[in-house]
Amino acid sequence: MIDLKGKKAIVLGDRDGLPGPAIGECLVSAGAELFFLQPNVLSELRQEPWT
Amino acid sequence: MDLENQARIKALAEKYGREHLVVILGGAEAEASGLAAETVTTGDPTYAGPLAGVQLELPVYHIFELQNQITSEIWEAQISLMELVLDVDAIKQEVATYRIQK
Repeated sequence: MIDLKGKKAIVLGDRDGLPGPAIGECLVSAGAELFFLQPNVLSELRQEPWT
Repeated sequence: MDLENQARIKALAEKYGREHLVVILGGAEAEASGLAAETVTTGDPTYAGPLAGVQLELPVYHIFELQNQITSEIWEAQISLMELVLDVDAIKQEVATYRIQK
């Protein structure tokens, strides 16, 4: 398992799952450096139904 | 993963090197998390973005896999609620698949 301490973390959150800020708070507490934080990127993978 | 974020991640990997970076996912579904993990390891599976054919091989984890490194108070406040509603085992298994393939 990776040691987060000192790592530059790229955070890809999901508003329907774990949002970026929540993950970021966890990672900072583990000693990682938040390097890039995208709150909603995974949600964009899903296609919206046509209306 | 959208094309703009692929470009950003590619630039960060080239600038800082994979040994200094880690990608942490927060996806609600195993499939979406797996696609993101695949994109930052073996390349964009849709061949649509800047990471198409680019094997960054970045270390990638879902936040659910890292509970042992997070203080229990913060975990309880930020993560534990979603553990109750998401398929944690499926998500962890899917993301680990791409990490092992690396």
